Amino acid sequence: MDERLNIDALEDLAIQLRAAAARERRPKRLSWGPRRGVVVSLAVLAVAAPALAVTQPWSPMLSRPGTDNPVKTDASPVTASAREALAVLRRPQTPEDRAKTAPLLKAVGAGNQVDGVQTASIRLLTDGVALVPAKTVRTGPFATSDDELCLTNGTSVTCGPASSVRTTGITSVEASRTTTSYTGLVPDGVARVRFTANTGTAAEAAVTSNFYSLSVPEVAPPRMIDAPDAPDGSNGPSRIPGPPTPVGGTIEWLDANGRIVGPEHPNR
Amino acid sequence: MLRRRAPDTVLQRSVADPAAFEGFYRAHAESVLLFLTRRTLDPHLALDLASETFAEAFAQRKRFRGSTEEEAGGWLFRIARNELFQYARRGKVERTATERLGLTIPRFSEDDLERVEHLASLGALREAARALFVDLPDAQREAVHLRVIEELSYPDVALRLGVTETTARARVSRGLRQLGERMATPTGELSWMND
Repeated sequence: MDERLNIDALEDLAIQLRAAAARERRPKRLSWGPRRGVVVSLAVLAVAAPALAVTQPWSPMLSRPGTDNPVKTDASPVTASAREALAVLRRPQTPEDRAKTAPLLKAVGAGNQVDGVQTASIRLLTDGVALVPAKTVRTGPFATSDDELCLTNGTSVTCGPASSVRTTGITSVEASRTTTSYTGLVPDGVARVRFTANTGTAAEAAVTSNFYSLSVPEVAPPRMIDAPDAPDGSNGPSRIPGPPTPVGGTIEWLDANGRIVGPEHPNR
Repeated sequence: MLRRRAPDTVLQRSVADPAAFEGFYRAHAESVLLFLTRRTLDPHLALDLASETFAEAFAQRKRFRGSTEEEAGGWLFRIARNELFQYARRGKVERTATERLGLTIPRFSEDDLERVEHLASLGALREAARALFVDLPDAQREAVHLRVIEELSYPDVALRLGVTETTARARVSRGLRQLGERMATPTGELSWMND
């Protein structure tokens, strides 16, 4: 095959174009008579899932070459409890899952924490966010956790145990200068997620594909941190404001009737 | 007897074998990205336009009528120029082809960004553009600033300047033309507004 391009983003595009070419190569119609063709198409529509499944092997790039260790893949399926809890894992993997998550997956290898990625169970949750199941995640210097579900947006990765996704979900929190964002994975039956900040500000978001994303226009007061030495040796302030800190609060899961159905251990 | 002629170029081969398009992409991806970066001074915008360029080339590859790799390259760069032209006219990137193909615009890593800026000699180009921009007549400079840097629509530019939309368009157009003429190098760098 041709050599890798020097610019990773262009390599990402190459992978997506390859997937698009593979989609185009697939035969578009059967050569049966027109009447019969209609009948067959309708039958397929009635029986099959709305998206076409893909079954060919897939080896997406899961780390940054030269920066992270290579991440191994794992052919085993996700745990039965995760499949039971998440409809997004029970549906087949589609070409769109592969094409749209491929550019995000290099973040998985950052920090050499995630290993044994179960590529057949990677799903697109929404544009720009992928669900990445993994056999092992390093949770401390000498600790690992098995069978984890990770979320990545292409720059950061958040993981949690698959065994507790039904009761606690997986929540990712980020803060910009003015906004706190909560995104996460929730089990079947959760229709909406409500976040109430400690200040009283509330935000609510609908759940699609077991995923939600919401934000509130608030952050916590910044923590003060030790200032690094100035490069020129000059004296500056010894304590400076640290990076933005997310505002804390309570997350509630609501079912289709607006009843609170979780999580079991609310994030605070 | 008439014989169908075998395809001469990778692009033509990709009509029957779509997978071959990847070879065409790899041969031109970097040069198209740098071409667009030098003309927009913005690597992110250039990547967006490059993605649309290749998606459009993939969709339209049956229409290529040349017979050499050089002609195929020229055909591709005409699409890239057209994407630039459309961007300049509409003030936004049309993602019609990328969306039709189901492509997501990739993101640059920090390393990528440094590499692209270095390869495109962006630092020097930005300095040169800044110096020339400052020299534009006041009315044109303000109009170009609102339209290109603040990305306002023409009606909004007109509102901010207190002139008609036609006048706003004329000032932006004259300003960009002047910048393009002053920046034009033997290789055509930054002359994209006039392409």
